[in-house]
Amino acid sequence: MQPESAGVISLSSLGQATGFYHLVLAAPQIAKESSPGQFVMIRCADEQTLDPLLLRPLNIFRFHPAEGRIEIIFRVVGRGTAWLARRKPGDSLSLLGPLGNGFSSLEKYRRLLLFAGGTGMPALFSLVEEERKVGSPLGSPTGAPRGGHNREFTLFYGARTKDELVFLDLWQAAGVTVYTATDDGSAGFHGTVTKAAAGFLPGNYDFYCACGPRPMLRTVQEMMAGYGIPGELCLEEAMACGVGACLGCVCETVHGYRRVCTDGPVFPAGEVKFS
Amino acid sequence: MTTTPSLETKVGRVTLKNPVLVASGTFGFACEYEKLFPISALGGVMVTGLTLEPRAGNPPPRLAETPAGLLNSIGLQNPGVHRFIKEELPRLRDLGTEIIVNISGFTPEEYGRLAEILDKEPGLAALEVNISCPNVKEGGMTFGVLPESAAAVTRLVRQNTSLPLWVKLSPNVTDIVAIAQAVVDAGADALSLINTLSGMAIDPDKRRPVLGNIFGGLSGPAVKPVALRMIWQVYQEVPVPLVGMGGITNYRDALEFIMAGTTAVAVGTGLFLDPLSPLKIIEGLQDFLAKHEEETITNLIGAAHNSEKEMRGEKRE
Repeated sequence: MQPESAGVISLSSLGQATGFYHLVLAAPQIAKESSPGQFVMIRCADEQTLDPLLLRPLNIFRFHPAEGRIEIIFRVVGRGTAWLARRKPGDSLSLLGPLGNGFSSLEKYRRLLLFAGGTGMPALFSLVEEERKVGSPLGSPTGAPRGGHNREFTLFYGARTKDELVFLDLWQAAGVTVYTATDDGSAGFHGTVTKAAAGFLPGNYDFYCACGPRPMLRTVQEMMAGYGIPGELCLEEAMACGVGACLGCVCETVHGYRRVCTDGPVFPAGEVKFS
Repeated sequence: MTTTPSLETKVGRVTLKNPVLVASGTFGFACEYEKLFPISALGGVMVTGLTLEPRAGNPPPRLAETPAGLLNSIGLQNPGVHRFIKEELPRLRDLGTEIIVNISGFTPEEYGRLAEILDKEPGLAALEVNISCPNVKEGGMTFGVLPESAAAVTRLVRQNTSLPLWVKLSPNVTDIVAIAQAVVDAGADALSLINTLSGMAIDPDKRRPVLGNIFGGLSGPAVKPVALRMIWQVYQEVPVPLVGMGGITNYRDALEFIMAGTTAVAVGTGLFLDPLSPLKIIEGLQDFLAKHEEETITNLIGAAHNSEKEMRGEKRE
């Protein structure tokens, strides 16, 4: 974890209506140190200006240590992300990262279920991609599922509408079985990911990972607890310091308040309390 | 100039290698930032506010960003003084910088007890007494808003320790000078100012306050002018060293505080914009002194008041 000045390699809109953007950055040190589920803080304001004040925490979508690059998917939700969406290739950004406690090792599990909602998708993709790198004896960069642990992933990916389901091709290329769900029924199942997944459960899944908005995580947590399948939840929260000092981003857990930035953002599913 | 200008400064009995501290509540127990830079480069660390018993803190959300500012309602989440002494203090002692421990209580007796406990611990440079805590005995009004209650807390702490006392003043008062005078009369060696300004934010879509605690404390560049004004007033009336904080993000901000009358400054919310900002401020101050051929930073303490006297003098003549 350190501050790093990162160059913008590319920034592209993933559909005007969605507000989603795909950002590729040259950040060699962060790329080298990252692990799945970790995030970076990005300063989203012009140099010498003090507004917006805080850095924005954003999930790492992909990291490429050999190329010294990281990729991020973000949605424009306020002044900071709107500023970020106006960057151009060649611009320089101030980053802090990689931060947080990512997903734990999947070593013990063979059939995994993933639940992604909106901007929660990138954290899960980093998990699968890293797993495929490790899992394949050839270290296939495309993540084709060959050899290695031969772990099976099934993804339930939810969004408000069809256009917000992004990078489905990458998921498929990584050998993941993908089911989609949309609030408006424009693609896949008409409804939530939990309802979409209900028909497939309990199956013989032995672990799950979920990242997305709180209401989604809450219903996923409830449903999976009902089936007795353990898992991990990756939380998204506004942060100030990002390093565990200010105690501003805490969530309620069975152990009391825990910092999303350093105790998380990934927590054992049974520990998080949604009130 | 041949010699390097000196950044050393003295807050009463406490000698600081440079005037740049980090403010309580923004730096945890320093271990978080240890990975980012050598803590020994700092003039000192003001440790997160401690209470007698552990405190869970306020329900989230605890943060709301405002224009050039930040509202927080952490609610003094801390492990309590005993666990602090056992688990954090040994490591803090070895950081190679001055350790100032911030204390809070809900009764004057709790402050006294905290002072008594910490008095026995070696390696502390000073106690920073946070009098912005709600007084549970007197219906939740904070100790720091009335000269009498502020003095009562200070007196009890003074009676229980020989450590230097820096009393941290709340800006949420009508007459900051009266409070400052009262706590100095009660035994404060120095004053820290300012704590956060009470405020709130509302989410129009949800039609409810953003913070779980409804009210929070405003910090960051938005509060800097208020801090400077209060420091200016206190410097003119109350003859003790001042430690300034409130929206400092760069060396020029630090100079404003020093020239308004502070002997040292603390970076708080500024750490969140740039965790390395305290180091950049130290460097900036060094360069400023060299450029202006000042031998020591202490020459600049209260420097802006001279101009005021000059302005007044000119008017009279």
